[in-house]
Amino acid sequence: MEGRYLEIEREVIRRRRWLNTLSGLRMGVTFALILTVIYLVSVELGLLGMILPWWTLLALNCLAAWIGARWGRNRPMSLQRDLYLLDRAFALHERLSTIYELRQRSGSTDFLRALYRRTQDLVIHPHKALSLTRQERRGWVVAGSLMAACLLFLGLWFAGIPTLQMGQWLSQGPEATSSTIINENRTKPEQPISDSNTSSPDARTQVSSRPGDQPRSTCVDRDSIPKLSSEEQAGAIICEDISQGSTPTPSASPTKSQRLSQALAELKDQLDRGELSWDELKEQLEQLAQEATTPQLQEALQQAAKANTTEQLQRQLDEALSQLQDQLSEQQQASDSATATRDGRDGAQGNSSQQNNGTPGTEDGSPQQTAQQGEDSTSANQQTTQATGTGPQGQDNDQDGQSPAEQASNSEQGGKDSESTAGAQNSSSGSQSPSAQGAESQAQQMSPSGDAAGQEPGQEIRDSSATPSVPLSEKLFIHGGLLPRDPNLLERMLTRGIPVDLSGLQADGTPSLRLNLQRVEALLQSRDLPPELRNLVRAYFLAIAGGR
Amino acid sequence: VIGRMPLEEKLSRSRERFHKLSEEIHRVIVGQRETIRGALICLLCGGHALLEGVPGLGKTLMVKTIGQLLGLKFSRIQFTPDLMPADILGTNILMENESGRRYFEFAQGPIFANIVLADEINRATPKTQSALLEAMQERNVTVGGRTYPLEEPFMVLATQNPIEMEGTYPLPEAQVDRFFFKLLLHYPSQAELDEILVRRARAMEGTQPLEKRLTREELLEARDLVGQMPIAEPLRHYIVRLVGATHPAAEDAPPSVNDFIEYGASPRAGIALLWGAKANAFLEGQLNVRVEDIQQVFLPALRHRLIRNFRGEAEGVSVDEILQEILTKIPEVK
Repeated sequence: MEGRYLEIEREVIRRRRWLNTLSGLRMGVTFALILTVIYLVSVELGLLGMILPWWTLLALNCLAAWIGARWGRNRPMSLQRDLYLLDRAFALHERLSTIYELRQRSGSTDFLRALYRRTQDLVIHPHKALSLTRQERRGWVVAGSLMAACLLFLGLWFAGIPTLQMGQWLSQGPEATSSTIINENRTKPEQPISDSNTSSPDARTQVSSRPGDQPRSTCVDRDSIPKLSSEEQAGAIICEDISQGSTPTPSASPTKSQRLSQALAELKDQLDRGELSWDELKEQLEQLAQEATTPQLQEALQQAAKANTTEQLQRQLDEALSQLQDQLSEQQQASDSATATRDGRDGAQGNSSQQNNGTPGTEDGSPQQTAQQGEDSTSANQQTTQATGTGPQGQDNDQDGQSPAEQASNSEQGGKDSESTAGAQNSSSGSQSPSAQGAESQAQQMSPSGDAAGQEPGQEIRDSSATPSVPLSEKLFIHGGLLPRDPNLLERMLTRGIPVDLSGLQADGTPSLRLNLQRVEALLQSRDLPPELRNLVRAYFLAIAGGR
Repeated sequence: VIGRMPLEEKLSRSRERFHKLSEEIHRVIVGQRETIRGALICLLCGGHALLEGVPGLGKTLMVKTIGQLLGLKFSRIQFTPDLMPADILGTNILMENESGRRYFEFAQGPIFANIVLADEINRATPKTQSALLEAMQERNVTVGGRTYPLEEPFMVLATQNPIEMEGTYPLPEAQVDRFFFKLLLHYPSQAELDEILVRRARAMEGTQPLEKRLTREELLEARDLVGQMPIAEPLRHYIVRLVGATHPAAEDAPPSVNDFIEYGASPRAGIALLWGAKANAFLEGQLNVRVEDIQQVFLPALRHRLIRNFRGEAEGVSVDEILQEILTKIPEVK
């Protein structure tokens, strides 16, 4: 007789357990996600040094969810209340809750039987009455939001976008803040990259994560750049640029001068057309004078602002414009010469960044590989000389104070000893031999001892930010000693998205790659990079092309 | 009826008697259905009812009709300012037997009946009104140091006029609280008034005598069934929340209670609500109490138990309005 009621009771219990499980799950998930968010923010702020892998975070969240679900499932439930809810939802005249009451209190069996009879034909679905409350739904929304925040946070992290510096990243662009962040290395102490640690993927990059560091990016040695993946290479900044304080910030002068020149020209046009009053004109001239890049220009603009007659004003404006034109042309010339200097030096420089850092050579220390590279270096030199007369040179060419003959002999030795000694030799002077220079402009700027205008090699790269052009006709070769011999595999590994062409096989069967600077320029144009960053990228490609 | 259990059969038969009783009352009283239903609920619960209405609405007629239909001992007390307690309760009279020995014999007053009509109860002095207290609550009367029980069923149906306040004595709170329900009689609608006139025209020609529809035993059996009527725990909690909400500064109290009520309902109000709901469910043919039963008897059970404060009285706020607000604000399920 009570069969139907008992069925309903069982369904209600099952439903309530499910809802309690969901509720507990929500609480567990919410709790775990709150902790996760706090943890992620703490790590991002540098308050926590312990980095947990993502799968550990996921496992901990799942554990919390499971515990919450178990707790919720075993939570005490009020069956009477649920039956009452069913009564109200299905207009059952409170029969179910009354039956429960009579059963619990051993009430009148006559009434109980009568009530059983009236519930015998009931067809109800508890899930329609017992569903998630509004509060529960809100709780799930909160949990979902937290989960989305965590996923977004982790997604940005894995995508290499700095999370808490998003505002800066968005306003200044990815180049300004940095490009590559490798999570595993974020809190590891900075280590100079050496032969031992470059072999592991985690140690290949050196990341500066302190808030004051600028830029916040992957900092790699020149020699380790070829070992990086294409994505890491794209965002890598050579350590010497940072270590020497030569942050790749744009030099404001050319842009400012151009802007001033344009403003002055517009002002002059407006003056000719009579669109400006005398006072407005003077006011704008005073503003421009404050932005002047040189004292002479500032003085000329101030005098123009003080002019009493139109002729005097025209004369002062013409003078200021001519000064600006001179200034722009000087900057252009300096830029061209610096580029030419860098082109010559990059071909011979090799691992100068490593030398500047005072670290040992970064080449893999295996004898076989060193010998192979020495031989390849020789062949590469021969090919380069035949093709263009420039191209990569062995690191042994950087020896300070050596005569061209000595350097030539070193070069002929195949560079077998160059890999181990080049670092120390280059760091001692950073000089280049005339044979390594290979370009007229470079030769003009080199000191007799081989120093490039008395500057360190790293400084040259920094200064090269002011040299916008690179001779595009050059074909530079990359040594293929460490690369797989299968050309197809090699192409898939290296040349996709990189301005590198397969140039065929060498005598020993080693594939050879050729850097195509025209493709470099095309890439740079397509990326819409600022001039200073383009120069940095050019320097990077030249460095990896000219090294080994 | 085949297949029905004895309980349901008993319930059905008993309910049928009350329906016939109700129909019989409506043969005399036109309209006032809620009032008559309230009076029957009071009868089923053994409670007393206070009927309030302006003169001419048929208060006295209604009570007299009920008394006649029940076939029980019915008495009527017309309350006046000079009415004394002894006039209601009875008194000891000096008697002399055949041997010439004198003794006191208790002469029962009109309170010793099953259905007592206390007409215009607010016209008697508080002293006399208080004479009813023990009878209504304890169902016995003490005179001369001796207690006399009243016969069950015992029910007081009092009437009072709300507008003729001159020369009246408002019932003390303790007295009012002893009434199970306070039933209001409203003006009949035009159709009802027309029906009244039609019936009166017939009555001038002679009315049919009323038949007794309910015996004492049948009434007691019905009371027993009402007492057994089960109620679920959530509904009891609902009653508790409703009564609790009548108290100012209570957690669930609506703003009007806080503003206009001086004292809330007593626990006796909760009991009246519970029993009234049971009786209502019985009359509705249910096997258990429903939320609707509680809501239907909420107003008559509580309207005379809430005491308005000065502001409430000054602003003329009706207790019924406040109770309606409570009913709206308090959720059935918490």
